[in-house]
Amino acid sequence: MFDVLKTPEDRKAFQEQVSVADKGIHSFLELDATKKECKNPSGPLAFIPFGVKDNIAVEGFHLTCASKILENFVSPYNATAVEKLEAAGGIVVGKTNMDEFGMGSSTDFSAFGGTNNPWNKECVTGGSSGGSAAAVAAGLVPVALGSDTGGSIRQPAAFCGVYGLKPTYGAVSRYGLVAYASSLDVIGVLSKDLDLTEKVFNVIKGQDWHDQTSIAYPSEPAKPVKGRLSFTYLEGDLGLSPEIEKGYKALIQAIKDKGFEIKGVQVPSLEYVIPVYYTIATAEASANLARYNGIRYGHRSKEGETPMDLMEKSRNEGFGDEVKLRILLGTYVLRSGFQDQYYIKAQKIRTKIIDDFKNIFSSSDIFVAPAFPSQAFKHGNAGLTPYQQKVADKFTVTANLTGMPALSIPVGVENGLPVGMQLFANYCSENLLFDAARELSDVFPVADAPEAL
Amino acid sequence: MQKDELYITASLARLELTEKEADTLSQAVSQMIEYFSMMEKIDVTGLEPTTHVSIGENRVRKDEVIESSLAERMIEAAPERDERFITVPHIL
Repeated sequence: MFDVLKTPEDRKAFQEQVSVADKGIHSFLELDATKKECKNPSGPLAFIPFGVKDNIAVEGFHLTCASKILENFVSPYNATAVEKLEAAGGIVVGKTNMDEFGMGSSTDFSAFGGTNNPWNKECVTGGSSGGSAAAVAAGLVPVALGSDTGGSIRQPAAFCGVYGLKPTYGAVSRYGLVAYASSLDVIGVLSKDLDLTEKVFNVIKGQDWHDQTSIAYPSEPAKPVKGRLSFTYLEGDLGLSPEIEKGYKALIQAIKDKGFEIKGVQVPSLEYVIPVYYTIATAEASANLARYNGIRYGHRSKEGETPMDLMEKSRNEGFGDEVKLRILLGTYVLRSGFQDQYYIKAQKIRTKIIDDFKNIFSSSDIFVAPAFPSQAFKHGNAGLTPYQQKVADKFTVTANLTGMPALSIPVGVENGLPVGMQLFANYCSENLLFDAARELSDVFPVADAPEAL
Repeated sequence: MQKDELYITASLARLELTEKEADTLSQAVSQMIEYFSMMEKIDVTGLEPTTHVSIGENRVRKDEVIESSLAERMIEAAPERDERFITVPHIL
């Protein structure tokens, strides 16, 4: 409906209609379609409205990370990915909701209230890029940026029935992305339109002198190892809900029916990915979040009598429970005497996981796995506990630990909720992910949420 | 995790916890640490730790003067300031 915003009147109409449509969903934390102009009317993304997750800097918009500690912070500059979007003609119309600092799988851990799944408002959107996924699924914007540290693009994309790309680590500059776990974080794209997802990725990727870990992305597309796309899929007892099991089997069958080679593999190191991921992610988070201390920016407690007292009180008032939990965990595993046992050990197992996946991609192009063991769960106590949510990240975190790209694709609707699966590929082989998804898109067309614009 | 261990960790993390928070958080932290301990089972002999997947050569930009107007806007974000200085409670 709002694929482009050519005139000021378009933007005004957009603002009015989207703010009404978003009332029952709460995908946007800030919505202002009148703030930005199209900077390149002949660019590849000219006049396309974008939602941007609220941990990615957009000049003149708030940058809250859905945390009270940054509630009033307005970004003084653009993230490189946003700069590139604007240079291609895209228009940022608002900032989307998320779990505080990206820490969660539901978006219910937003300090400003959760987001409702457009398919069923009693259910969560997934997270942490839940606002971006919901905004796209509800048809409020054709495309949105998210970030993915352990599945934060792919799992909400699966819960909301849209495509979600987690690029190769370093393919997109992290400059202007608020750091959660620096060795895992990556900016990516959510959309119902596969071609648009690819186009946006091609615009935002590339090396950036602001980010030392950004990579020079190869100009030649990756080629299939055997001339034609070949697949492997994760087999074994995966603990899937009946709906996900059904979708997973349907996807594998569709790949066979299309005449592609596909074989099952077991990946024993997957048993360890959750402790490895949470050790590394929380360790890095505890260091990254040390900067929020009430001194230079963000929330400052009114109570502090000494600088130390001020820091402790500001942090306690500003951070939510899940963030505190992860800071404590990360601080604990980095304490002297425990480092070898946890952090170093986790980094060594990470090496093993990378080796396992390099091995898989030496003889096939695409690795297939579910995005999450269940469909979108209910808000609150009827859903999963924070601990159960963490354990269920087992299918997504591997792509962050290895740094390899992965794409979440919708494979249908069961009981009124979308079912999503993941395709993984080798480093800098995003083009193969898009090729594979395109091959499957006639079998699994994207469905529209009930009241989508 | 014992509560005194939690308080030591919280102090290192510059977090002031209330009694009630300490109760719920010590349970949640213990549950995860226990889960982490399953990493003991895996043999990693001979494996190097991966700190980062894309560390290549150190890259440096040209040593050039560039214009930046960010300084004032950065200081504007401070919760309390006195002209160009960010103020804090007294240190001594």
